[in-house]
Amino acid sequence: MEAAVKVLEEHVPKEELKSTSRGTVVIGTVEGDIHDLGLRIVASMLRANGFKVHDLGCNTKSMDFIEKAKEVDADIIAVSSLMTTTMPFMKDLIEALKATGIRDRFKILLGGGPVNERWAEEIGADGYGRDASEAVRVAKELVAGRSG
Amino acid sequence: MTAPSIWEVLDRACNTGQLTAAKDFDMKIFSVASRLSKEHGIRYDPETPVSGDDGLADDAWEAGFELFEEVGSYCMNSGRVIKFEESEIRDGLREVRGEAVIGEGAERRTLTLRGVEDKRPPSIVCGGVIESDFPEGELFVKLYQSIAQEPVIDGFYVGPPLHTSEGRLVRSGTPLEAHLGRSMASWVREAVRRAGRPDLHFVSACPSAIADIAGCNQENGTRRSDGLMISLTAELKTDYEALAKVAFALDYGCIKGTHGGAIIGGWAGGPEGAAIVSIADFLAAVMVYQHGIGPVYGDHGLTRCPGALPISSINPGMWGTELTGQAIARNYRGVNGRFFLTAAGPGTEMQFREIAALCIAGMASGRDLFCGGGVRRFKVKPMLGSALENRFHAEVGYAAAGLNREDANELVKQIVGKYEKEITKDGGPWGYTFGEIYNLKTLTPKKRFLELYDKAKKELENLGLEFNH
Repeated sequence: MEAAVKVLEEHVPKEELKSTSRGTVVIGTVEGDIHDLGLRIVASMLRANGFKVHDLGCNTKSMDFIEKAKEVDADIIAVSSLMTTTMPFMKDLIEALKATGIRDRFKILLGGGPVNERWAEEIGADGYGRDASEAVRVAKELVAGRSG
Repeated sequence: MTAPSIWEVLDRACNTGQLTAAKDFDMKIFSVASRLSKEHGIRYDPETPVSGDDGLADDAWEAGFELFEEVGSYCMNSGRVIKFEESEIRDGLREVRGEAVIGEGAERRTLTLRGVEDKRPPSIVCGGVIESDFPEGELFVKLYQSIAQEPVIDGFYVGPPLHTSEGRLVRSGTPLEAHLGRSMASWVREAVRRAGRPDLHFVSACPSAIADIAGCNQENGTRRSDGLMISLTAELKTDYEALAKVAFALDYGCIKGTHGGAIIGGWAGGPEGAAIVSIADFLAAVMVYQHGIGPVYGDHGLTRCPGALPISSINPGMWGTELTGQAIARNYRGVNGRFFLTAAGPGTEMQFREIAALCIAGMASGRDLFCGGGVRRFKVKPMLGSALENRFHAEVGYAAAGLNREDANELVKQIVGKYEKEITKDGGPWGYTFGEIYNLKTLTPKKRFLELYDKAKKELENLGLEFNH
């Protein structure tokens, strides 16, 4: 894993890699989506930046995100989707958090090919990262916001 | 000897392959690709988008072959590795037919292998609009009708699924997606009927098997002369959805369109590793998706740049994509095309330039023309895409046939130099919607965009490209 992160570091501005924030992240690709490459890159980058990461892998159901986040007392649930037809499952996750009365307990960070800032705002997410380095930056901001 | 049957492959994928954690499979790719790129002396050259080195292409092929033999493919549902012996892979390659027949009646086309620097025109010009958000129904029909009206188009790519069906958000793998898959296939048939080309070929590209299979129907859907797009997931991964499509396509008798490639900066490593993994990924399609059985064409070796934009119209993505294209063309007997993912949106000078660079590079590297209207722009604006960029891609493709790699490389460098600095993290200019580029009553391009089209052609003529189609 460390070897892969070393390669990633060559493609990312050095200032993005300095460990300045720590927190716990539950990360995964939404239900129905098997694309895990971006997810694993973001997970590695978060680890390299001092986050404790619980990677649930691809095709993760909303309730599995929630159960894991509760179990590890996560700061952030980071969710990716690589297909337009799996993006609605991001909305379902946020609705499920609201329905169980724990929406405010976790910050929701979105990413993935078809996802954009507008979609993140539309469904009530807390942040969006267009690539791995931006996801790390936003994750740091979200954690800083929680403790601040 | 014959290559393993689909039933043997499914056994390895579902029941008998070695159980392995996905992260361990990823790390093995990384370590093997790093070692093989050094052992075979594969070196990325940022100054050469279109390599002219046959030895480098063959070295990359050998490295990709060794990587696939050592690593195999990974089934994400079962967590099992699907591996093949060297002799099985060589048998699988030997069984590939040199041609595939698509379409029916007046629209019947025979696709044949194009070689590196082949002087023959493309054997297929496959159009389409990739990943733009169109509404269900009439406007979707009109988009594909406008593409089918282009005489130079031999077929088109349709996918991924629309965002809504019956006014509701579509979720992957749900009953509504199955209904949408059926609806989309019937709308495409309506589009080609309206264009007066009822037997035109198309390939359906819904990610889930249920949606693609629901669209299969000889009367008013995806026919046996049409295709199902079956993708590998980066890196070297498959799943039950893709394998179900393979099994179904073999039973139904339709064409398999297979797709794959590697991502620079991921588990493949740098450009050299990504080129090698792209070739291994192609071999995974040959073996797991059964290129030797039934009609098939591929779109493989797309080596994409890192970041949010999976484009390959600049280096290092272009270098890797063209190197793998040459490696495949020199060592494989089937048809291999090229996806055209651009940074800029339709109806812009920059997108015309990107399409031109991709066409010229791909044709010289032995590829066919696959999905020329491709653009990943749904992030910014819906309904981006038209037939005009499809027409441009076809005309440049015919003009580029016969260019040698040295000339293609120089041309591409000049064209890329005109847009490379315009590429941002968000891509480039958003471009224009179908309704902005086309008169939706007459289904013809508007004057302003035709003038832009002519200007883009003129620019290429001034660089020495001769249009002949």
